[in-house]
Amino acid sequence: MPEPRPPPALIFAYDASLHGDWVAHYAIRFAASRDPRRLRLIHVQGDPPVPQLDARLARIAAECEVLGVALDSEVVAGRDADVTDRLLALAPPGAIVVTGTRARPRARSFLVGTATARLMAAGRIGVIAMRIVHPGVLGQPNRVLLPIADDDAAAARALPLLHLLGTDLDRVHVALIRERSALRTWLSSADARQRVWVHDAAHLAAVEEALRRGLAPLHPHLDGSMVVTTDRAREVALTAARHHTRLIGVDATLGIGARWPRRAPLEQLLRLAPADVAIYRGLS
Amino acid sequence: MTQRQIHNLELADVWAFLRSRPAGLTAAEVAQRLAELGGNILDAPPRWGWVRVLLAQITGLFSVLLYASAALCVIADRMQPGEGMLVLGIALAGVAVLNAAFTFAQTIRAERAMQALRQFLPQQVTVWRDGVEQTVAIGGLVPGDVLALAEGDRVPADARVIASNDLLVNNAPLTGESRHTSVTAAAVAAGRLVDAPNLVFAGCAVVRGTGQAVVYATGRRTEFGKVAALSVEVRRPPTPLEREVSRMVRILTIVAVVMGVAFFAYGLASGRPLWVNVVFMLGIIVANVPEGLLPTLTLALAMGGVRLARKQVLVKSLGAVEALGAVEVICTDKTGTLTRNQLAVTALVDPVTGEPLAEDRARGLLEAAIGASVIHPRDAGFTGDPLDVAIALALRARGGDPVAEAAGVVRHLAFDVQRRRAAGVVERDGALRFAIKGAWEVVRARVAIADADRAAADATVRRLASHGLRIIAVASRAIAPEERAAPEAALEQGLTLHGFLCLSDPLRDEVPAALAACHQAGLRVILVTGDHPDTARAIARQAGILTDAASDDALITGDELEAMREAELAQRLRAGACVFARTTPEQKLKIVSALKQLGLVVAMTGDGVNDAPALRAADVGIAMGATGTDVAREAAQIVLLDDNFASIVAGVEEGRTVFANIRKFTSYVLASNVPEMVPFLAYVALPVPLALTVIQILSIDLGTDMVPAIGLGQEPPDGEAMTRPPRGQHGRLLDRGLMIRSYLFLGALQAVWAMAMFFTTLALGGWRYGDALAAGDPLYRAATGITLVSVIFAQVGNLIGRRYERGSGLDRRLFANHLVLLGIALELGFAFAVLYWAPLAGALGTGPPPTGLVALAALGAPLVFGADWARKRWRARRAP
Repeated sequence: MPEPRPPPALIFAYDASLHGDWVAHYAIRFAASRDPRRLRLIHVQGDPPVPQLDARLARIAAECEVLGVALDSEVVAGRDADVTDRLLALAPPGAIVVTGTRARPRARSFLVGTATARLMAAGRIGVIAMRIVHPGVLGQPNRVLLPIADDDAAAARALPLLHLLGTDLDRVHVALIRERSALRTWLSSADARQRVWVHDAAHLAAVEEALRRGLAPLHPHLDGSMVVTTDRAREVALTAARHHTRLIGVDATLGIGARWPRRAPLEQLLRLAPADVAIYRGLS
Repeated sequence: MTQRQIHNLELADVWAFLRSRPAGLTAAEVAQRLAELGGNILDAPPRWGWVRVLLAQITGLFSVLLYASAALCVIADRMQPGEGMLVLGIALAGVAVLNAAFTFAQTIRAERAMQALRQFLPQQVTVWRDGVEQTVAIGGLVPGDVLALAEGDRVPADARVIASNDLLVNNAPLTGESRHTSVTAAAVAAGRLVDAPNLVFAGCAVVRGTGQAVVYATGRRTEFGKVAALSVEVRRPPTPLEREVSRMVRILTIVAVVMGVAFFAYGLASGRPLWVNVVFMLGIIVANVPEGLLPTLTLALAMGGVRLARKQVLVKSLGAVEALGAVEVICTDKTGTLTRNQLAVTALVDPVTGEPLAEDRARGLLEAAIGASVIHPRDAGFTGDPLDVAIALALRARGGDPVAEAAGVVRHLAFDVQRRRAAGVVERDGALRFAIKGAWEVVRARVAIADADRAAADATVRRLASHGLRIIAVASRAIAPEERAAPEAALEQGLTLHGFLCLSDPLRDEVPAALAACHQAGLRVILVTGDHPDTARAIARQAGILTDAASDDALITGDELEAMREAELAQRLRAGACVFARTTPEQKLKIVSALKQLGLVVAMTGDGVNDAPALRAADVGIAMGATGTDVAREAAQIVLLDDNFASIVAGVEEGRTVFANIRKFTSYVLASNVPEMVPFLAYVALPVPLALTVIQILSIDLGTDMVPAIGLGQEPPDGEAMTRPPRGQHGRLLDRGLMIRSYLFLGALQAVWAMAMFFTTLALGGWRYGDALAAGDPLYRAATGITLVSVIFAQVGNLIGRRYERGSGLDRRLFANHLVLLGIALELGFAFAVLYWAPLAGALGTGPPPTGLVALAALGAPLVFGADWARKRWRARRAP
């Protein structure tokens, strides 16, 4: 009988910021949901080095110990501009890198133009970019919102993230949010809208069923809803508020947007989110 | 895996996880967290949001059409001055601006709702930072900040309590539960975050004690912030009428533009001058667009709102007037809406036998209950908790003196949500007694009775609750002086059970009749309450919401609801579920969503802050005016001034009447479009003069048609409004029947009559087919004048016929509607003025025709009225 294939390596790209400390809760929880419970922390040390790095790493190690996670910490030298290359060089193909999307000065975009966006674009590894706005969740979001598009592979792409949340997962709400301009809505007939609605309902049911099968061992409460809106990011934020969501899991294919970064749906969502956000890409 | 939410953590872990410490954050840490997460503020609607709304209105197709027509008129005036095109252009632009202006009032509502929410948060808070207690603005709070809490404070952010000195909070803004909750600092092992006794939430009030708490969520991430977002930012879908008007405008706009452009092209191809074609195209567009319809519709809704106010229904959004008429499901609260909100003791029962207590035991029970109550004498009655007041009134009714009894209370242990009981120590004649009152489930384990008696008491409670009664157990025991200040747990042992207080909140007298009216009108009523299932079921039966034949599936509890998927809930609702018990305010949102998933038009009532999201999500949000919070009132479209369910039903009838009236005047206004359009078609197709000019068309659309149309909008209910099923989402304002009747019957009749009068006048004046006439020619002026008054006279006949869908129109007391009478008077007055009053005739390009012809034109009124009546009778005979 062939040996079961080990899960891809889980790497936490730690920037040693306060936000990074909050992301660490998630990374450790993700690691604790896997077998073996192992987390590789990589910190690219710039110049000057981050103060109190050892104390921060010690705290993370202590948290790992509580959850029985084996932590391998690596502090590697490199400039800020080199972070992506260093991480790509250190991460084996197929690895999952957990990273943060922290606020940047002068209201610059959260994701576009960052090392995280470059990691995602590289396509060689899986990336989970976390934006923590609710530190009280402590990396244990029991209620998750999955905004999805009209895409057959939506469930397959989301499942690895949900598996990383493990038994903490209590409720998953799938929201099929269709963006449509006011003019298009005005021009479309009631019959046309009904046809789209029926199609979306079928798609949502298929996604829910795929998630139900994929999450069978965890058995979270699964529900879904459909919304047509002129503003997808705002609708995701409202849906999250409505369902007391603790984590919004967003497929990066929903649109990072480079032309008008601040108006890209993901950027708007990162700005508006009432809950922590995990943007995932290339998880397997 | 270990469950470690913020409320599960030991205090040391709280500091570690939030990277904070008892001395508080440093200034640098605060700045860093502010940069990362932003301030502790509730988002305001965009400052220039109203501009966006206004722009959307101004750039609507209907408005653009009117602006384009106005611009063409100005151009035409430059090309050919003296034709009155400038006046026309100004009038068209004025109509478009008027329509846009009506939306302004709506734009500031979102900001008002947010202001109401902000009142639940303090301006400044006391925090520990750098080891120093300091006062900071609420916006500067960040996760990790250490709050100092004291009695009277509002909690500024969600926080984990780290020290509690008898801290008691009121979480009503979040839970809807008006009673207080005691708060501790100890970690809890399990349970939901919002129920955790070691957390305090933004917007809630500290009612007693002092304490410290460390902030873990700020701004829109707090539970209150989420309620605020859902109360303010959710965009309510367009009302059925708004959808219908949009559809109607789309149809009329397309018809007007296509016809105008097609005939403009035809005119150019046939070699007519550009100027003539411009006038012609404008004429077609103006004739097709019912310029006066939207202002009339707005006025009809506004006046419907005034009538609703007289029925104790205050309308905040004009669209809600008609939306109320389209409602298919009303989700209603119980207390105060179906019932009187006057808790009264209806029986005092022996727990074991289930029989009423003898008078002396009954009085003893009430005296013991007063020992666990707080009452404040006021005027002839009492104020305080409704339960305590009901007990005091019952004791007084039995000849007791509640004030004297209450004066003996030397220690009071207040009710709180977790303990579900209140207690007190009473001193009388030097002897001390500990008394307790509360739910039987709580008191049960604290009384010293035999197991068999306990089982009998269980059965008694079940039996009484099934009748919709609220059961309060009362027990007491004598205590020694040294026990006076003993811990509550020590006092609550070995109690003597006095009996059960049975309380009820009687149904309002009007409710059964209102429910019957709902059933007759095809309206479904759903009861949503936080009460016990047995109480909810009993009240639903009394009101007529639940029939005796209804299965157990008709009732859903809050726990079941929590576990249900929205689709499953929709399925249960489709199957007839109509009572929701033990629900929380936030579950109302789920019920609204499921009902909307079924395609139903939903009205939802509510009064608390946490009801606001459901009020906002419903098609018609109805807030309680007497007992509701400002937040609920701002989130709703309708405020019920007397909190009475019967007023909602009256509102539904008014809403249905408004819609029926809108159809009446729409049909009335559209009918005159045909005789306005036919002259232009004849003008381009035949070598004949133009029978009606553009300015004359506008004198009908924005002149003579307006007051009669407004009058039709004020027709009283016809007595049949509540016998028809609700029209819901799919009831059409502009359906095929209405269009055929308006355009192909009434309109065609008017067109034939008006054109016949036009040609008769020309023929009698010596005109021959193919002759051209100058605009100033007296014969032409007389002929256009007679055409104009023929349309006006015919509209008088149409007006009377439109009053009643099935009857003649005269059978609905013509003199009852003063505006219709005024409209007829104005039409007749205008008809004569346009022919015989020189200034008006000069402005409109008309002249006096022979008097006999005017008399003949006046026959248009009985002609149209008679033909319409004959049509109705023919239809009535054909109807099954």
